[in-house]
Formats: sequence, structure tokens, C-alpha cells
Amino acid sequence: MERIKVESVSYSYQNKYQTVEAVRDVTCSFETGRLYVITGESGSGKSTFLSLLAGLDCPGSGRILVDGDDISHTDRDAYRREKVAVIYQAFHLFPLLTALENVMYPLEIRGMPGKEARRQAEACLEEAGVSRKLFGQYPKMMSGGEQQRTAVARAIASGGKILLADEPTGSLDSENEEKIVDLLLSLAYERDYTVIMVTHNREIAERADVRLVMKDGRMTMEQ
Amino acid sequence: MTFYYSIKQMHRSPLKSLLFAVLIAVCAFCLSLGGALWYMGSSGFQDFDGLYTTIGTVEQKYEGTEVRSSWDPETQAYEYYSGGYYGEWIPEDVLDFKGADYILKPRQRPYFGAYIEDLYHGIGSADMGVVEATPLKTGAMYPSLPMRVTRVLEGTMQEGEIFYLCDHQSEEPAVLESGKTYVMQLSMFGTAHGPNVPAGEQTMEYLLSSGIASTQYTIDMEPVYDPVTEEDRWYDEVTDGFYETERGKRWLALSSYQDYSMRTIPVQPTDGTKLLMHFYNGEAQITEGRDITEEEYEDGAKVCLMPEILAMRLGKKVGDTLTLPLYYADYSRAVGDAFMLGVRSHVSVNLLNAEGEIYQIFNEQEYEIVGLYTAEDKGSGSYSAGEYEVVIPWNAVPENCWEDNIAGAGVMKGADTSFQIPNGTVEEFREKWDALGIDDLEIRFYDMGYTQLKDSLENRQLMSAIFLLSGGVMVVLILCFFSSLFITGQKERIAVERLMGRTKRQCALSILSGMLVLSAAGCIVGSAAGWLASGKAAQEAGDTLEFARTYSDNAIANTEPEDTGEPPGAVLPCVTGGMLLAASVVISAGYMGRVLRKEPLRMLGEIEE
Repeated sequence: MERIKVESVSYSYQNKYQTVEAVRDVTCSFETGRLYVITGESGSGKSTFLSLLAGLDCPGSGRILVDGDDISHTDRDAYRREKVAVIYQAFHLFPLLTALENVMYPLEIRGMPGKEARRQAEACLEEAGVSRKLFGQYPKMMSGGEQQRTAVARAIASGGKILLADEPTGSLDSENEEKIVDLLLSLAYERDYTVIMVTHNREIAERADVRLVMKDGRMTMEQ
Repeated sequence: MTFYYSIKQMHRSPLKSLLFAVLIAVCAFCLSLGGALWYMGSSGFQDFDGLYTTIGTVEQKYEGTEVRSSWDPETQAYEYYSGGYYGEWIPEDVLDFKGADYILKPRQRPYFGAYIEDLYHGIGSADMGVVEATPLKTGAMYPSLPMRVTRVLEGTMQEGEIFYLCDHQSEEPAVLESGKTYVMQLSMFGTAHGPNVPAGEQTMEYLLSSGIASTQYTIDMEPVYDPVTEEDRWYDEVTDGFYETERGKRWLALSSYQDYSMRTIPVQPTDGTKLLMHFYNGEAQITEGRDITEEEYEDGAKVCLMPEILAMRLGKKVGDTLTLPLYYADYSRAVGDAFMLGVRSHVSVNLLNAEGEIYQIFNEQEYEIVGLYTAEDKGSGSYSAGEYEVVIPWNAVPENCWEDNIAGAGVMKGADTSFQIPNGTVEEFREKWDALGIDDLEIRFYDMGYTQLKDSLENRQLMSAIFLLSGGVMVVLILCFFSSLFITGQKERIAVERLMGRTKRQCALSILSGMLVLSAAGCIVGSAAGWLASGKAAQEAGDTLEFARTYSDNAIANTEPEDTGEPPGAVLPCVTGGMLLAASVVISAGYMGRVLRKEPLRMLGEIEE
């Protein structure tokens, strides 16, 4: 089932010296229960495209439809809160909160009472494969893999069924890399998530259902 | 939840948070104390301006000195002494120069003589009189010449009474002939002496008074021509028809001198009570009623201050009216010299005008007695209060309406010429005055010690300014530093929160609430400490000021100590704390705004790089 439809999207921004056309006339779609991989050189527009999907900005032209709604015309804060979650290469967990608190955070943002948030957060952590003994640990005390699992748990807890992953395995060893990709695949296949992952890793890319390549802001599909 | 996590974040970096709170508290302390000191200093200035008065007195200097001589009949030789003499009379207008900032302009004040009918009920004075007398034998008026009174024109001497007359001033005393009758004004001098006085007899001798010669002046201090003064003789022979002559008429007019003299009180017109040195230096103090107000002085209200003792003699009290028939003005002496305190002396000027008549009343009005005062003689000489001196507003009497009744002229003296300038402007005034290069006038300033106290107040102001400035600078630096630390350092959290769907406002609140709570706590503690310290400082300063005032101004002794240098209460620390908190909000919001403007994924990308 098609979840995201990108229609002739272009986006440019002004940096210190020039106007950068980061995304040029991209048209594509993303379905539920599938893992998408976007590859491309640095500066090819991958992250910008991801931020457009995340609703952080609006396309200069074209439109992005999520479940049939143009996200440019919806409450994009609410969109991010309810429909989309992002995980990052550097995990970006809150360093002064425990693993459990990190996962509870998006739940409580949505107004969930503390006890219920805790229960759900624990479930999310378990689903992401985080050991119970790590629930009270601060990110600094955890390994990279454990931190990324916690980050995935936080993404699951956020409730959005669109998972955007920006180089999620870039900081991990191959064992943890594998585990994280497995986790993301299981979220796509077993929980109907639409997982869109930006990566340079060829091996990971090969495990994806669809591979997209960005070059100079343009996107092509690689079969 | 937002607040909870924000506090939790702060709690988990306790050292940083504690340091921030402590530094904010120190700033709040500095600002609160500085603000309080500034306020106290400012209100102190205002109080002092109200309590302290700066006046200047003006005195014309001698132009030079000259050798003078006087005949000493005992040694039959002249005695020589030197004395100062004045140059040309300088009008008060020269003090009206450009840049002179007067509260009350300088004015050479005469005092007026007022004839008060009810003041005296006696039969006259024994030490003075106007009589016709004949010598018991022909002889010169030195040594003491025995005389018999043949007619009493004025005074308590009796017809047929023998008295001794003596001239101690002339090298060749005039000879009075036996069998002739002479009219003269006498004043008791000392013990009779010489061969005409029987051995063992202790009796008083009399001198001749200046008598019928007028000392009238114009308003420009020029003597009014009086033909009588051309004849320098202080007595006259009485012959048939003598009292029809010009000189004779004057002697008759002079026969009411004692009546006027005994019933005359001095009236001092002024623009302000404090311009009179005896009030200024506390020798005279209002004991009942009130002072004449500035408005009354300005409007020329018919009000007066009178000495308690005069009020008792006249049966007057505060609220009563006193009619003042003014009949002469005297510029020659200050009232304290002309009517010495504690001495019921005769009028010291000649009461005859150039036409040989007693001065006519030039102004008669009723004055409400608004205050009674007592005065004591502390040896201030000319600056003392005068006996029975009544004080009225200068403007109560039409300007120069006394110009035809000026019985004595004189240059400006410290005791009769003064002005008021704003407190703390003595040096400025002096510089401008000195620049004019007028050396003939000496100006002395009196400020009750204001200048010294002003220095101490300025030091306090400076101290408070330093506190304020350092507090202000510290606040800005600390807030910038910690905002950078708390906000810019939390870019990652802000970006992630934004990606989780939090609005910019929620993100700002999430980051700032903990910081602002710490800031508020620091503000409360610091402001409270500053408030307590300012209270202590006010107490210390109050003690010092009371001590200083005790010796500077008697009037201030009546002022409640809590009227001055009061700490500003709890309002100022609250305002200071509030402003500091507001500064925290503004500065941190500024930083927050900068961070929130960045696109979160790009921000995270930068962090990752």
C-alpha cells in the first residue's frame, strides 16, 4: 500500500555563497512494509530529501503526500509527532536521560501519563532488543549498538509508522550493523513500517527492497 | 513534563547549574545593593537639598587704611590710630552677573524702624535727654562743667537739677557763659571730674549728642543736603524767638526723640528666614508657630516672625496681628549692631530728616504673627539677632517706598547682604565670580557642611554605580555564557525534539524552563541579600549623617532621622530581581531563537561532522 507519494519535488536553499538546488524534480513513492535505501555521494541531497520527508521544510515545488495528505498543508509538527520517526548515525539520545527516559520522552510529549509511558517504553526497548538491565543506564554507559537500539526503541515509541534512518549503522561495527538492519527489516515486514534509510553501505543497500540513488539532487531507482 | 525534564537535566549537571545560580545570585546582590544605594543616595540628595541651605554673604572691603586722630584732653595730645576706609559705594547689582544661579538674589537689606505705641509706658530715660541749661560759672566744657537745668524738653531730669557737662573730643572745648541758657541733647557718659567737682563727690557727667544734624541719605547712598550740618555745633544758645528759627524748631522736634527711641523696634525685611545669619546658624529658633513659607516670601504676604519676649510685652500670640508703622530705614548698621540683643538701647540713628522733622511713617500695615522665636547672643556681633527684631517678607513692603526715609547709609556688609544658591554650587559660583575680577567685594559661603556631606554621598553614589555597572556587566556576560552553554550546547537535544514533533515554542520552554528556574532562584536569593545589605548600609549611613548634622544645623535636629537616607523597601529588590529575570528571558530567548532558526537535520549533521 502506498504510504508516501513524492510528486515532482524540488527544493533549493541559500548558503553563504550561492543557491543550492538540493533536490530536483524528484518523483517517487514509498509503500508500507518495505525497506527503502537511498544512496548517493555526500552533498547529493539525501539528507535534504529526508528532511522534506520528515516535514521539517516544505518543497519549493511539487508535493509530498502522506496517506493522501499533502504535508505542506498539514500541521507538520503534529505530522512529525504522530507519523514519522527519525534515527541517526550518532544516535542523538539525550545524554542526561536514562535509556528508559529517552524512550519515554516522545510518549510523554504526546501526553501519555507517566506510568503508561513507562510501560510502553519498556515494551519498545524490549522489542528493540535492549536488555532490561540497560534501562536505567545513561547513553554514555552503553555501547554504540545498544545506543542505536535505544534510538530505534525511541523511534518505535514515537508511534509514527514512517521510519527515516540517516546512516543508522555508520557508527557501528558489522555485528551491530547487521542487528540494526535486521531490526529495521523486522519493523518493516512485521509491523508495516515504511523504513527509508540513507546509507553508503553497499551491503545494507542490497538487503533493501528498493534502492534509490541520488545524484545532484535527482533521484533514480536502482533495480 | 516539559518542566520536569528540564529540571531533571539541570539536576544532572549540578555543578554547572549551581554555578549558574550562584553567579546570578551574586549579580542580583550587586544590582539590588547598587540599586538600593543609588536610590538612597538620590533620595539623600533630595533630602539634603531640602534640609541644607547654601548662602553667601557679601561684604564690601576697605579700599585702604588711613591714620586718624582724636584729641585726648587728659594728656592734652592727639592719639593716632589707623582705620580702614571704604571706596565708592558698590550697589548690589554687580552681583547680578551672567551665569549666577541664585535661588534668592543678593540684596542689601536695611532694617526699618517701627513705632510701636504700646511698647513703652515709662517716664523716659535718665541717661539721655534734651534740656535747656545754664552753667553755674563761665567755663570751658573740659573738665566737667557744672550746669543747672532750667527747662526739660525731654527726659527725666528735673528743672533746677545740677549736672556736669564735659567735652572729651575737642582740642579747644567751647566756653559756656554763666547767665546764658543753652539747649542741648545730653547723654550720660562717665564720672564727673576736675576742679569743679567737689572733692569726694561721685556723680555722673554728660556729653553732648549730635543733636539736630540730620543724617538722611538718598536711595543711592548720597547724603541729602542739610544746611544745619554746615555749622558743626551740638548746642545752641536760647534767646528770645530762638524756637522760631530753623535750628530752634529742630530742637523742639528733637524733644520727641526719646519717645520715638523708646517705642521703636527694628523690622527686618528679607527674602528668606535663612538669609538672616542668626536664623541660619541657629542662634534664633522658632519656638512657636511656624516659619514664613517660601510662597509667603515670594507673594509678600503680610506675615511676620516676632521674638517671644516682644510678644509677651505686647500681649501677642501666634495668629494675632501686629501693626508695623515703619518710619525710617537704616543701611548704616546691621540690626544686630543697631539694636544689640539684650540691651534696650536708644535708636542709633538721627531721627530728624534733612528738613528737621522726625521721619514720617512711610508704610503701615497689619501683619499676622505666624511664628515666635527666641534668640540668644552667641557673640556673633553684627550677625546676631536684634533686640525685638521682627522679620517680615521683603515683598510685603512696596519696593523702595522708604527712599525718603533713609536715616543711615552704609556699604554692603555680611550681616545685611546675603543670597542663596543651590546646594553644592559654591565652587562653580566662585569660579564665575572670580572670573569677573571684582576684588572690592568679599563673598563668604555657608553651607552647613553640605559640601563635605555631598562628597560622602557622591562616594556612595559612585560605589552604587560600580555595583550597578559591575552587576549589569556580569549579568550580561554570565547570561551570555550560560545561555551559550545551556542552549547552544543543547543543539542536539533541540534538533531531536524538533524531529520528534515538538513545536519551537515547546522546545524553547523545554530548554529554558530549567534555566529560568535557576535564574529565578538566584535572583530571589541575591536580591534578598542585597536588600538586607542595603538596610544595614542605610543604618550605618544614617548614624554617620545624624552625627554630622548635629554639628551643622540646629534646625535639622528637629527632623526625624528616618526622613533621610531611607532604604527603598522591598520594592526595589523585587524590581531588580524582576529585571534580572527579564534579562535572563530576553538573552536566553535570543540564543534560543538563533538555534531554533536552524534546520534540525542539518544541525545534527553539523554535530556529527
